[in-house]
Amino acid sequence: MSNFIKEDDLDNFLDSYLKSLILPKIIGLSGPLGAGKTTIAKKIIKFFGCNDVVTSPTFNIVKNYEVGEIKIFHVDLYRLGSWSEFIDLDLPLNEENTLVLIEWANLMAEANIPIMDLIEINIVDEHTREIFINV
Amino acid sequence: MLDEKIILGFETSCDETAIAILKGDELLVNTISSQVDIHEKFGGVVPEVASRAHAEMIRNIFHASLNSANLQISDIDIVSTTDGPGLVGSLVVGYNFAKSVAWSIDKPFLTVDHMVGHLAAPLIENRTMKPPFMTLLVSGGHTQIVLVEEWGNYQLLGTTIDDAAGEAFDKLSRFCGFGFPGGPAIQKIGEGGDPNKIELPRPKTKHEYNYSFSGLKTAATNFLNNLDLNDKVTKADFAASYQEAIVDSLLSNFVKAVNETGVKNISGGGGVMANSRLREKMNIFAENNDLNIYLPTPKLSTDNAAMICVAAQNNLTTNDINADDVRLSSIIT
Repeated sequence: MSNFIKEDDLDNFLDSYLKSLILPKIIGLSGPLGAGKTTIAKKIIKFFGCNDVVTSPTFNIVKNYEVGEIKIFHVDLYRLGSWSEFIDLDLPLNEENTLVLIEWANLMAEANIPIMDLIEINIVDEHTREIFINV
Repeated sequence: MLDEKIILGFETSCDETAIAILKGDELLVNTISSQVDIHEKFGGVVPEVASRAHAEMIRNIFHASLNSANLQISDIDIVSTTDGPGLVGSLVVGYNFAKSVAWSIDKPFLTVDHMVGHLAAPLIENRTMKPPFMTLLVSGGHTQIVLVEEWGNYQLLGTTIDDAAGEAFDKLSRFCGFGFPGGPAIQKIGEGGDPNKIELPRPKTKHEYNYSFSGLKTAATNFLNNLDLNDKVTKADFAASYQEAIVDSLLSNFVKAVNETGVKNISGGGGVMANSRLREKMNIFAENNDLNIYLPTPKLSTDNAAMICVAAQNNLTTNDINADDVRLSSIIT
Protein backbone atom coordinates (compact mmCIF):
# COMPACT_ATOMS: atom_id res chain seq x y z
CA MET A 1 0.00 0.00 0.00
CA SER A 2 1.23 3.50 -0.72
CA ASN A 3 2.23 5.54 2.29
CA PHE A 4 0.35 8.55 0.96
CA ILE A 5 -2.86 8.39 2.91
CA LYS A 6 -6.04 10.37 2.46
CA GLU A 7 -8.17 11.05 5.53
CA ASP A 8 -10.83 8.53 4.47
CA ASP A 9 -8.26 5.76 3.95
CA LEU A 10 -6.68 6.08 7.39
CA ASP A 11 -8.75 3.32 9.02
CA ASN A 12 -7.87 0.88 6.24
CA PHE A 13 -4.23 1.81 6.40
CA LEU A 14 -4.05 1.29 10.19
CA ASP A 15 -6.12 -1.89 10.21
CA SER A 16 -3.42 -4.55 9.85
CA TYR A 17 -1.07 -2.70 12.20
CA LEU A 18 -3.75 -2.46 14.90
CA LYS A 19 -4.59 -6.15 14.56
CA SER A 20 -0.92 -7.03 15.06
CA LEU A 21 -0.63 -5.14 18.34
CA ILE A 22 0.04 -7.15 21.47
CA LEU A 23 0.34 -5.56 24.91
CA PRO A 24 2.47 -4.37 26.53
CA LYS A 25 3.25 -1.83 23.85
CA ILE A 26 4.91 1.54 23.53
CA ILE A 27 4.04 3.55 20.45
CA GLY A 28 5.72 6.83 19.56
CA LEU A 29 4.06 9.33 17.23
CA SER A 30 6.01 12.01 15.45
CA GLY A 31 5.14 14.73 12.98
CA PRO A 32 4.66 18.50 12.87
CA LEU A 33 1.86 20.49 14.51
CA GLY A 34 -1.43 19.49 12.91
CA ALA A 35 -0.07 16.32 11.27
CA GLY A 36 -2.64 14.11 13.01
CA LYS A 37 -0.76 12.53 15.92
CA THR A 38 -3.75 12.80 18.26
CA THR A 39 -6.06 11.56 15.49
CA ILE A 40 -4.06 8.34 15.16
CA ALA A 41 -3.68 8.01 18.95
CA LYS A 42 -7.48 8.23 19.25
CA LYS A 43 -7.92 5.40 16.75
CA ILE A 44 -5.42 3.21 18.60
CA ILE A 45 -7.05 3.87 21.98
CA LYS A 46 -10.48 3.17 20.53
CA PHE A 47 -9.19 -0.08 19.03
CA PHE A 48 -8.47 -1.26 22.58
CA GLY A 49 -12.12 -0.77 23.46
CA CYS A 50 -11.98 2.59 25.19
CA ASN A 51 -15.16 4.58 24.67
CA ASP A 52 -14.03 7.75 26.45
CA VAL A 53 -13.68 10.91 24.40
CA VAL A 54 -9.92 10.99 23.84
CA THR A 55 -8.64 14.55 23.65
CA SER A 56 -5.23 16.12 23.23
CA PRO A 57 -2.92 15.42 26.17
CA THR A 58 -0.76 18.48 25.45
CA PHE A 59 -2.01 20.68 28.27
CA ASN A 60 -2.22 17.90 30.83
CA ILE A 61 0.96 16.06 29.66
CA VAL A 62 -0.50 12.64 30.55
CA LYS A 63 -4.06 11.37 30.29
CA ASN A 64 -4.92 7.94 31.65
CA TYR A 65 -7.62 5.59 30.42
CA GLU A 66 -8.66 2.19 31.67
CA VAL A 67 -10.53 -0.56 29.85
CA GLY A 68 -10.94 -3.60 32.07
CA GLU A 69 -7.43 -4.84 32.78
CA ILE A 70 -5.89 -2.58 30.16
CA LYS A 71 -4.23 0.64 31.24
CA ILE A 72 -3.57 3.29 28.62
CA PHE A 73 -1.21 6.24 29.11
CA HIS A 74 -1.53 8.96 26.47
CA VAL A 75 1.53 11.16 26.82
CA ASP A 76 2.71 14.33 25.10
CA LEU A 77 6.36 15.47 25.18
CA TYR A 78 5.54 18.85 23.60
CA ARG A 79 5.85 20.81 26.83
CA LEU A 80 8.58 18.84 28.51
CA GLY A 81 11.93 20.47 29.01
CA SER A 82 14.13 17.44 29.28
CA TRP A 83 14.20 13.67 29.25
CA SER A 84 14.66 13.58 33.03
CA GLU A 85 11.18 15.08 33.30
CA PHE A 86 9.83 12.24 31.23
CA ILE A 87 11.52 9.79 33.59
CA ASP A 88 9.94 11.62 36.53
CA LEU A 89 6.50 10.88 35.09
CA ASP A 90 7.27 7.32 36.17
CA LEU A 91 5.23 5.72 33.40
CA PRO A 92 4.86 1.95 33.43
CA LEU A 93 6.86 1.23 30.29
CA ASN A 94 6.52 -2.34 29.15
CA GLU A 95 4.39 -3.49 32.08
CA GLU A 96 1.69 -6.11 31.67
CA ASN A 97 -1.51 -4.91 29.95
CA THR A 98 -0.25 -1.40 29.40
CA LEU A 99 -0.28 0.72 26.29
CA VAL A 100 1.86 3.85 26.31
CA LEU A 101 1.36 6.32 23.46
CA ILE A 102 3.95 9.07 23.21
CA GLU A 103 3.18 12.09 21.04
CA TRP A 104 6.07 14.26 19.82
CA ALA A 105 8.37 11.27 20.34
CA ASN A 106 10.81 12.92 17.91
CA LEU A 107 11.34 15.90 20.23
CA MET A 108 13.89 14.12 22.38
CA ALA A 109 16.58 11.84 21.10
CA GLU A 110 16.29 9.73 24.23
CA ALA A 111 12.66 9.04 23.43
CA ASN A 112 13.78 6.70 20.67
CA ILE A 113 13.21 3.71 22.96
CA PRO A 114 14.41 0.55 21.19
CA ILE A 115 11.28 -1.43 22.06
CA MET A 116 8.97 1.30 20.78
CA ASP A 117 7.02 1.32 17.53
CA LEU A 118 7.31 4.66 15.80
CA ILE A 119 4.62 6.15 13.60
CA GLU A 120 5.99 9.04 11.56
CA ILE A 121 3.59 11.43 9.89
CA ASN A 122 4.47 14.04 7.26
CA ILE A 123 2.02 16.58 5.94
CA VAL A 124 1.76 16.30 2.12
CA ASP A 125 -1.22 18.58 1.64
CA GLU A 126 -4.37 19.54 3.51
CA HIS A 127 -6.00 16.13 3.06
CA THR A 128 -2.99 13.85 2.56
CA ARG A 129 -0.38 12.52 4.94
CA GLU A 130 2.67 10.37 4.34
CA ILE A 131 2.78 7.81 7.13
CA PHE A 132 5.49 5.33 8.06
CA ILE A 133 5.02 2.72 10.72
CA ASN A 134 8.34 1.42 12.03
CA VAL A 135 7.92 -1.67 14.16
CA MET B 1 -28.40 34.41 56.15
CA LEU B 2 -25.30 33.01 54.61
CA ASP B 3 -23.31 30.52 56.61
CA GLU B 4 -20.45 32.42 58.23
CA LYS B 5 -18.14 29.43 58.50
CA ILE B 6 -14.55 30.12 57.49
CA ILE B 7 -13.59 28.01 54.50
CA LEU B 8 -10.02 27.42 53.41
CA GLY B 9 -9.54 26.29 49.81
CA PHE B 10 -6.63 24.92 47.79
CA GLU B 11 -6.29 24.64 44.01
CA THR B 12 -3.16 23.03 42.55
CA SER B 13 -4.47 21.24 39.48
CA CYS B 14 -1.99 22.81 37.10
CA ASP B 15 0.11 25.98 36.94
CA GLU B 16 -1.11 27.79 39.96
CA THR B 17 -0.56 27.22 43.64
CA ALA B 18 -3.71 28.95 44.78
CA ILE B 19 -5.13 29.39 48.27
CA ALA B 20 -8.24 31.29 49.30
CA ILE B 21 -10.18 31.91 52.47
CA LEU B 22 -13.90 32.65 52.30
CA LYS B 23 -16.16 33.72 55.17
CA GLY B 24 -19.80 34.03 54.20
CA ASP B 25 -19.78 36.19 51.11
CA GLU B 26 -16.56 37.89 52.07
CA LEU B 27 -13.47 36.69 50.23
CA LEU B 28 -10.79 37.28 52.88
CA VAL B 29 -7.83 36.09 50.81
CA ASN B 30 -7.38 34.96 47.23
CA THR B 31 -3.72 34.20 46.62
CA ILE B 32 -2.54 32.92 43.27
CA SER B 33 1.11 32.21 42.92
CA SER B 34 1.43 31.72 39.23
CA GLN B 35 4.17 29.41 38.11
CA VAL B 36 4.07 30.88 34.63
CA ASP B 37 7.53 32.41 35.06
CA ILE B 38 9.03 29.00 35.63
CA HIS B 39 7.13 27.47 32.73
CA GLU B 40 7.71 30.22 30.24
CA LYS B 41 11.21 29.12 29.35
CA PHE B 42 9.94 25.63 28.60
CA GLY B 43 7.02 26.89 26.52
CA GLY B 44 4.52 25.14 28.69
CA VAL B 45 3.61 23.38 31.86
CA VAL B 46 6.28 21.01 33.08
CA PRO B 47 4.89 18.32 35.34
CA GLU B 48 7.94 17.61 37.43
CA VAL B 49 8.70 21.29 37.76
CA ALA B 50 5.03 21.95 38.48
CA SER B 51 4.74 19.51 41.36
CA ARG B 52 8.07 20.52 42.84
CA ALA B 53 7.18 24.20 42.60
CA HIS B 54 3.83 23.54 44.28
CA ALA B 55 5.59 21.65 47.07
CA GLU B 56 8.11 24.45 47.54
CA MET B 57 5.51 27.21 47.60
CA ILE B 58 2.42 25.84 49.24
CA ARG B 59 3.52 26.14 52.87
CA ASN B 60 4.68 29.72 52.52
CA ILE B 61 1.55 30.75 50.64
CA PHE B 62 -0.58 29.06 53.27
CA HIS B 63 1.02 30.99 56.13
CA ALA B 64 1.02 34.25 54.19
CA SER B 65 -2.68 33.74 53.45
CA LEU B 66 -3.53 33.19 57.13
CA ASN B 67 -1.49 36.25 58.05
CA SER B 68 -3.13 38.53 55.55
CA ALA B 69 -6.59 37.38 56.72
CA ASN B 70 -5.42 37.91 60.31
CA LEU B 71 -6.45 34.38 61.24
CA GLN B 72 -5.01 31.49 63.20
CA ILE B 73 -5.05 28.03 61.72
CA SER B 74 -7.57 27.05 64.42
CA ASP B 75 -10.05 29.64 63.11
CA ILE B 76 -10.61 27.57 59.96
CA ASP B 77 -13.93 25.68 59.99
CA ILE B 78 -13.73 23.71 56.73
CA VAL B 79 -10.81 22.73 54.48
CA SER B 80 -11.42 22.11 50.77
CA THR B 81 -9.28 21.21 47.80
CA THR B 82 -9.62 20.17 44.17
CA ASP B 83 -9.30 16.46 43.36
CA GLY B 84 -9.02 16.76 39.60
CA PRO B 85 -8.98 16.76 36.70
CA GLY B 86 -5.43 18.01 36.36
CA LEU B 87 -1.80 17.02 36.52
CA VAL B 88 -1.77 14.14 38.95
CA GLY B 89 1.60 15.11 40.49
CA SER B 90 0.39 18.64 41.16
CA LEU B 91 -2.97 17.51 42.52
CA VAL B 92 -1.25 15.21 45.00
CA VAL B 93 0.71 18.10 46.52
CA GLY B 94 -2.39 20.23 47.17
CA TYR B 95 -4.51 17.30 48.24
CA ASN B 96 -2.02 16.01 50.80
CA PHE B 97 -1.28 19.45 52.19
CA ALA B 98 -4.99 20.32 52.53
CA LYS B 99 -5.83 17.01 54.11
CA SER B 100 -2.98 17.38 56.59
CA VAL B 101 -4.24 20.83 57.59
CA ALA B 102 -7.77 19.47 58.09
CA TRP B 103 -6.47 16.57 60.12
CA SER B 104 -4.26 18.76 62.30
CA ILE B 105 -7.17 20.99 63.34
CA ASP B 106 -9.75 18.20 63.29
CA LYS B 107 -12.07 19.93 60.81
CA PRO B 108 -14.06 18.60 57.85
CA PHE B 109 -12.15 18.01 54.63
CA LEU B 110 -14.06 18.42 51.35
CA THR B 111 -12.96 17.78 47.78
CA VAL B 112 -14.28 19.71 44.80
CA ASP B 113 -14.07 18.84 41.12
CA HIS B 114 -11.99 21.44 39.30
CA MET B 115 -14.67 22.00 36.64
CA VAL B 116 -17.43 22.32 39.27
CA GLY B 117 -15.22 24.97 40.84
CA HIS B 118 -15.20 26.87 37.54
CA LEU B 119 -18.95 26.65 37.13
CA ALA B 120 -19.53 27.86 40.70
CA ALA B 121 -17.04 30.75 40.39
CA PRO B 122 -19.60 33.47 39.50
CA LEU B 123 -21.19 32.93 42.95
CA ILE B 124 -18.18 34.54 44.60
CA GLU B 125 -19.21 37.93 43.27
CA ASN B 126 -22.87 37.38 42.59
CA ARG B 127 -24.97 35.34 44.98
CA THR B 128 -28.06 35.75 42.82
CA MET B 129 -26.90 33.24 40.20
CA LYS B 130 -29.29 30.28 40.34
CA PRO B 131 -29.89 27.21 38.21
CA PRO B 132 -31.07 26.49 35.65
CA PHE B 133 -28.24 28.05 33.67
CA MET B 134 -26.03 27.17 30.73
CA THR B 135 -22.32 27.64 31.18
CA LEU B 136 -19.39 27.68 28.78
CA LEU B 137 -16.28 26.32 30.49
CA VAL B 138 -13.15 27.07 28.51
CA SER B 139 -9.68 26.43 29.88
CA GLY B 140 -6.27 25.13 28.93
CA GLY B 141 -7.38 21.55 29.11
CA HIS B 142 -11.18 21.65 28.69
CA THR B 143 -13.89 23.09 26.52
CA GLN B 144 -17.40 22.21 27.67
CA ILE B 145 -21.01 23.33 27.43
CA VAL B 146 -22.72 22.35 30.66
CA LEU B 147 -26.40 22.70 31.49
CA VAL B 148 -26.80 23.12 35.25
CA GLU B 149 -30.41 22.13 35.86
CA GLU B 150 -29.94 22.37 39.58
CA TRP B 151 -26.86 22.39 41.80
CA GLY B 152 -25.33 18.95 41.59
CA ASN B 153 -27.19 18.05 38.39
CA TYR B 154 -24.85 18.79 35.50
CA GLN B 155 -25.54 17.81 31.91
CA LEU B 156 -22.51 17.84 29.68
CA LEU B 157 -24.01 18.86 26.34
CA GLY B 158 -20.80 19.39 24.41
CA THR B 159 -17.08 18.94 24.74
CA THR B 160 -14.01 19.21 22.58
CA ILE B 161 -13.11 16.06 20.70
CA ASP B 162 -9.44 17.02 20.21
CA ASP B 163 -7.82 20.28 21.35
CA ALA B 164 -9.28 22.49 24.07
CA ALA B 165 -9.71 26.17 23.20
CA GLY B 166 -6.78 26.99 25.49
CA GLU B 167 -4.63 24.43 23.71
CA ALA B 168 -5.60 25.94 20.36
CA PHE B 169 -4.27 29.29 21.63
CA ASP B 170 -1.18 27.76 23.28
CA LYS B 171 -0.08 25.61 20.35
CA LEU B 172 -0.37 28.28 17.69
CA SER B 173 1.26 30.81 19.99
CA ARG B 174 4.24 28.55 20.49
CA PHE B 175 4.39 27.76 16.76
CA CYS B 176 4.60 31.51 16.07
CA GLY B 177 6.87 32.32 19.00
CA PHE B 178 4.24 34.61 20.56
CA GLY B 179 4.69 33.33 24.13
CA PHE B 180 2.97 31.32 26.85
CA PRO B 181 0.18 31.20 27.85
CA GLY B 182 -1.08 31.61 24.29
CA GLY B 183 -4.47 33.22 24.97
CA PRO B 184 -3.26 36.49 26.50
CA ALA B 185 -0.30 36.59 24.07
CA ILE B 186 -2.50 36.28 20.98
CA GLN B 187 -5.06 38.73 22.36
CA LYS B 188 -2.32 41.32 22.90
CA ILE B 189 -0.66 40.85 19.51
CA GLY B 190 -4.07 40.91 17.83
CA GLU B 191 -5.01 44.32 19.28
CA GLY B 192 -5.83 46.67 16.40
CA GLY B 193 -5.67 43.81 13.90
CA ASP B 194 -8.46 43.03 11.43
CA PRO B 195 -10.30 39.93 12.73
CA ASN B 196 -11.78 39.28 9.27
CA LYS B 197 -8.57 39.68 7.29
CA ILE B 198 -7.77 35.99 7.06
CA GLU B 199 -10.35 33.36 6.30
CA LEU B 200 -9.99 30.55 8.80
CA PRO B 201 -12.41 27.65 9.24
CA ARG B 202 -15.07 27.45 11.97
CA PRO B 203 -14.81 23.71 12.52
CA LYS B 204 -17.98 21.66 12.86
CA THR B 205 -18.32 18.22 14.42
CA LYS B 206 -20.79 15.40 13.87
CA HIS B 207 -22.31 16.03 17.29
CA GLU B 208 -23.97 19.43 17.17
CA TYR B 209 -22.62 20.76 20.46
CA ASN B 210 -19.11 19.31 20.35
CA TYR B 211 -16.03 21.31 19.51
CA SER B 212 -12.98 20.57 17.41
CA PHE B 213 -10.05 22.96 17.23
CA SER B 214 -7.48 20.66 15.70
CA GLY B 215 -8.42 21.56 12.12
CA LEU B 216 -8.32 25.27 12.85
CA LYS B 217 -4.81 24.95 14.25
CA THR B 218 -3.74 23.04 11.13
CA ALA B 219 -5.37 25.59 8.82
CA ALA B 220 -3.58 28.42 10.60
CA THR B 221 -0.17 26.76 10.39
CA ASN B 222 -0.82 25.90 6.72
CA PHE B 223 -1.65 29.52 6.10
CA LEU B 224 1.66 30.61 7.63
CA ASN B 225 3.67 27.96 5.81
CA ASN B 226 2.21 29.07 2.48
CA LEU B 227 2.38 32.76 3.20
CA ASP B 228 3.54 34.82 0.27
CA LEU B 229 5.80 37.67 1.30
CA ASN B 230 3.74 39.95 -0.92
CA ASP B 231 0.62 39.20 1.08
CA LYS B 232 -0.12 42.26 3.09
CA VAL B 233 -0.99 40.52 6.33
CA THR B 234 0.28 41.85 9.63
CA LYS B 235 0.98 39.83 12.75
CA ALA B 236 -1.93 41.69 14.38
CA ASP B 237 -4.32 40.69 11.56
CA PHE B 238 -3.26 37.08 11.84
CA ALA B 239 -3.60 36.95 15.65
CA ALA B 240 -6.94 38.79 15.56
CA SER B 241 -8.30 36.47 12.85
CA TYR B 242 -7.23 33.36 14.74
CA GLN B 243 -8.77 34.64 17.97
CA GLU B 244 -11.97 35.52 16.12
CA ALA B 245 -12.19 31.99 14.68
CA ILE B 246 -11.91 30.46 18.16
CA VAL B 247 -14.39 32.89 19.71
CA ASP B 248 -16.88 32.41 16.84
CA SER B 249 -16.66 28.64 17.16
CA LEU B 250 -17.12 28.77 20.93
CA LEU B 251 -20.13 31.06 20.63
CA SER B 252 -21.93 29.27 17.81
CA ASN B 253 -22.42 25.95 19.62
CA PHE B 254 -23.11 27.67 22.92
CA VAL B 255 -25.75 29.93 21.36
CA LYS B 256 -27.38 26.92 19.71
CA ALA B 257 -27.49 25.06 23.04
CA VAL B 258 -28.99 28.06 24.85
CA ASN B 259 -31.60 28.68 22.16
CA GLU B 260 -32.64 25.06 21.90
CA THR B 261 -33.02 24.55 25.64
CA GLY B 262 -34.53 27.97 26.23
CA VAL B 263 -32.61 28.70 29.43
CA LYS B 264 -32.67 32.32 30.48
CA ASN B 265 -29.43 32.41 32.48
CA ILE B 266 -25.95 31.98 31.03
CA SER B 267 -22.52 31.94 32.53
CA GLY B 268 -18.95 30.97 31.81
CA GLY B 269 -15.59 30.18 33.32
CA GLY B 270 -12.08 28.91 32.79
CA GLY B 271 -8.94 30.75 31.74
CA VAL B 272 -10.09 31.43 28.17
CA MET B 273 -13.12 33.26 29.62
CA ALA B 274 -10.63 35.99 30.57
CA ASN B 275 -10.31 36.74 26.84
CA SER B 276 -11.86 40.15 26.24
CA ARG B 277 -13.23 39.37 22.77
CA LEU B 278 -15.01 36.25 24.08
CA ARG B 279 -16.47 38.20 27.01
CA GLU B 280 -17.63 40.95 24.67
CA LYS B 281 -19.43 38.48 22.41
CA MET B 282 -20.98 36.61 25.36
CA ASN B 283 -22.30 39.92 26.71
CA ILE B 284 -23.69 40.98 23.32
CA PHE B 285 -25.44 37.63 22.97
CA ALA B 286 -27.00 38.00 26.44
CA GLU B 287 -28.09 41.56 25.78
CA ASN B 288 -29.66 40.82 22.39
CA ASN B 289 -31.58 37.89 23.77
CA ASP B 290 -32.56 39.33 27.11
CA LEU B 291 -30.63 36.74 29.11
CA ASN B 292 -29.12 37.11 32.56
CA ILE B 293 -25.37 36.69 32.30
CA TYR B 294 -23.02 35.78 35.14
CA LEU B 295 -19.38 35.93 34.10
CA PRO B 296 -16.71 35.77 36.76
CA THR B 297 -14.19 38.61 36.51
CA PRO B 298 -11.05 37.59 34.56
CA LYS B 299 -9.15 36.95 37.80
CA LEU B 300 -11.81 34.50 38.95
CA SER B 301 -12.13 32.94 35.48
CA THR B 302 -8.58 31.62 35.51
CA ASP B 303 -7.63 28.94 38.01
CA ASN B 304 -8.08 30.13 41.59
CA ALA B 305 -8.93 28.70 44.99
CA ALA B 306 -11.84 31.02 45.75
CA MET B 307 -13.97 28.95 43.38
CA ILE B 308 -13.06 25.83 45.38
CA CYS B 309 -14.15 27.60 48.59
CA VAL B 310 -17.46 28.77 47.15
CA ALA B 311 -18.21 25.31 45.74
CA ALA B 312 -17.47 23.75 49.13
CA GLN B 313 -19.62 26.40 50.81
CA ASN B 314 -22.54 25.40 48.57
CA ASN B 315 -21.98 21.68 49.14
CA LEU B 316 -20.92 21.15 45.54
CA THR B 317 -18.42 18.55 46.66
CA THR B 318 -17.14 15.36 45.16
CA ASN B 319 -17.48 13.30 48.30
CA ASP B 320 -19.24 13.36 51.58
CA ILE B 321 -17.61 15.06 54.47
CA ASN B 322 -14.19 13.67 55.36
CA ALA B 323 -13.19 12.03 52.13
CA ASP B 324 -10.64 9.44 53.08
CA ASP B 325 -9.67 7.79 49.89
CA VAL B 326 -9.98 9.83 46.75
CA ARG B 327 -8.69 8.84 43.36
CA LEU B 328 -6.95 11.81 41.81
CA SER B 329 -7.60 11.79 38.10
CA SER B 330 -6.15 13.33 34.97
CA ILE B 331 -9.42 13.09 33.07
CA ILE B 332 -13.07 13.76 33.77
CA THR B 333 -14.66 10.64 35.19
